[in-house]
Amino acid sequence: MILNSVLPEASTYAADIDRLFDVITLLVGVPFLIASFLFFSFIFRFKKREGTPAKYITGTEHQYMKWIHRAHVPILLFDVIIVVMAVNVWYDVKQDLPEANSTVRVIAQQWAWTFVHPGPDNVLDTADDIVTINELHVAKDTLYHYKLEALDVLHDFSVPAFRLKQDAIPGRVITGWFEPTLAGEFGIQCAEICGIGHGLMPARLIVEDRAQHAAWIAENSPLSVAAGVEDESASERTRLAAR
Amino acid sequence: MLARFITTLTTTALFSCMATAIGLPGLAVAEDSGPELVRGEQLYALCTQCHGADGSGNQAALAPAIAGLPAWYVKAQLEKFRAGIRGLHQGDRGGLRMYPMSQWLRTEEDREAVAAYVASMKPTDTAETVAHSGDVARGQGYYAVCSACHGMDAGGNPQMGAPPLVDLNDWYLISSIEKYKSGIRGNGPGDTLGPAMIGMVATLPDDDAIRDVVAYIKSLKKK
Ligand code: HEC
Ligand code: HEC
Ligand SMILES: [Cu+2]
Repeated sequence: MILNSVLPEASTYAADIDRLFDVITLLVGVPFLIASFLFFSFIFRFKKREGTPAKYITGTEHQYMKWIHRAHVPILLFDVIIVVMAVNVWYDVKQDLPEANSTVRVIAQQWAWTFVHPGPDNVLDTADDIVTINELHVAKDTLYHYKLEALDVLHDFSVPAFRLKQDAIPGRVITGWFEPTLAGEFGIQCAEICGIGHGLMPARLIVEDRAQHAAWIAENSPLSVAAGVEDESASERTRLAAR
Repeated sequence: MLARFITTLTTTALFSCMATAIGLPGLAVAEDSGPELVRGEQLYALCTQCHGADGSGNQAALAPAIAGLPAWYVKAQLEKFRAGIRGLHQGDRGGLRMYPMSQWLRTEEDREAVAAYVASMKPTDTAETVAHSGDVARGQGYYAVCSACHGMDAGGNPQMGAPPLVDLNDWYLISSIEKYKSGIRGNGPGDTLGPAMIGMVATLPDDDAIRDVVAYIKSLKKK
């Protein structure tokens, strides 16, 4: 409701995260507005007046305390709602690892993203892998695992349209998943300060439907490139690093 | 009251005199070096983190010494980085750091200004960093090929697009030659001068040969 009005939901779990965001905004926002309204109206209602002396109260009597105790009930209740919903979404996005149709390797370094796509054989680390810089190609409605690495310092693989964010830690290979549901071009950014070029390491995410994606894979695999089926339209910025 | 007024008056007068006195030579310097160098110096602040305020480079940041490199070469490299012709390769750790930095220099004037400023800096003494350096005599033999473009004194040749090599760090010479050898550099889309270098470094058969030719290049500096 709130997030998807400014940013499309492009993965299977994007809507779950947005719903959670809406619920938290409502549960916290509505009481905040009520409390602010009361706070300011009391300030104006009970402002200094001629002939009305100020009275000092400690606020410990039941008569006053009950307003605090009563507010505790919804706070605890809302907390439980938020925690239960958050744990569910967290489990789904981060702890569960559904079976993948394909796996991509994502390598962060100062200051670029390298993406290794499995080639036509759909197996990583074989001769037909497609290596690109700052451009990730995936197919719609396909479940991907990503293997995230950092070569130098902390980085963070952030794909706002997927509602995906994952730290990359030198020395570790972190596996996670996503399933794109919307074709189009989206942004990828680094979400962990990683040095002077941190703001200058944007990458593009290109979600194509399956047929288009298969064609891209076939055209750009180093094996077919070697055989002379070069892709003329390949973006100039992204050069296929595995020539 | 009156005393304070007089003090204020004299102080103001004194300051105006000093400002004029200091201001005039200041202006003269700015005129001397031209507005381009002033702009270039401003822009160079962006580069100091890696290349150093004096342009002496920083091996830990993989950034070479650039002080005194000719303006045409600096500008050409900045444009190559910007277009992703140089640096945008998965195996190029240093290049991938310089690539985004080149995006800062958005206009041709800015690239020219910073290049002019880099060229105006005095070349720094690039200390030897390689643990065991190569054999100068053997290096001289290998360098015969290189001299056709880079010059007998390794002072570069703008007609050939070949930069001077004498003031570069030994570690950077080695890493650059290795990058050419593995096709990480010189192979970008639309690189016109790079492929020639790839052919040339093929005349250096192994790591020892690379060290030898670098030792010879560095020996030219001492003379
Ligand atoms: C984050 C660190 C960093 C910053 C900031 C940086 N550079 Fe670099 N620069 C590098 C690295 C690393 C290389 C080496 C690339 C390579 O190994 O090929 C390099 C290479 C260069 C080269 C090529 C030198 C040669 O001999 O070919 C030039 C020219 C250059 N930088 C100019 C600049 C200018 C001008 C700026 C400021 C606008 C700048 N750099 C800012 C890291 C940096
Ligand atoms: C045909 C002319 C030619 C010959 C011969 C040649 N070079 Fe070059 N060299 C170039 C050009 C042109 C460049 C700049 C390429 C560019 O603009 O990217 C260059 C760049 C370099 C660089 C990178 C300098 C820097 O600042 O980053 C090194 C190192 C180098 N050459 C070493 C050698 C060595 C060693 C040899 C001999 C084995 C050699 N070159 C022979 C033309 C030549
Ligand atoms: Cu980063």
